[in-house]
Amino acid sequence: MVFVMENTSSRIIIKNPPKKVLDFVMKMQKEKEAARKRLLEKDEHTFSIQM
Amino acid sequence: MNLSFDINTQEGDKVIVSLVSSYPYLRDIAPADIPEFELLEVSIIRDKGTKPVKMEVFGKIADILISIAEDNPDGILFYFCDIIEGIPSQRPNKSMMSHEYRNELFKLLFKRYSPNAKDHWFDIEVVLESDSPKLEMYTHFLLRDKHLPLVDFLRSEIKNNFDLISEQK
Repeated sequence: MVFVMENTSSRIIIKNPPKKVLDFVMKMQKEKEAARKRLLEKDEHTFSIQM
Repeated sequence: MNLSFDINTQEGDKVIVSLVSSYPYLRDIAPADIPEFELLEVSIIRDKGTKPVKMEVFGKIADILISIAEDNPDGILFYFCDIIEGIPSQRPNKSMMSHEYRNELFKLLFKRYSPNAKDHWFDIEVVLESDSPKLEMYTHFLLRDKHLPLVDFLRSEIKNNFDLISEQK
């Protein structure tokens, strides 16, 4: 694991995470897909901006 | 918090951004001496348009995120770079996958974000590297320095005791 602090930006790298962590990543990806679908189906948003 | 907004351009582009309070159980398992926090998950979705959006759109997203985050003294912005395709892009190389490209875009967003902010913000990028590019993970935590101990906590949890995080959702 690497932890580097550069100004206000930091990077934590975890190499070769165990399977349970990778399973969690897959789960997160599926949740993001579901959340994306919900957002795209939403008729109205809190506010709208025209540029 | 659960809000969303869309940005529409004359060029026919549409980008949807949402901010949703997420992972409330982290407060319960984090050390008590970490100041109060609220994890706000950011989603950025390209809904319409086939070309890269103009930089003004990018700037508008950053400006709104600034104002929302700074109005919330406990707020931590969390962004998980998803692997879903569908972002018209100018990737530095064609082999770059969408989550890695989103990671680069979000870093740019932070660079835009931080100079305009009143508070001192940190961009903590957490990367899981794997043999399989599809299983790599890129996430960002944008937080104030008072919340930096939370990063130490999450780092140790991922390294030593990931079950605590992954099984409590």
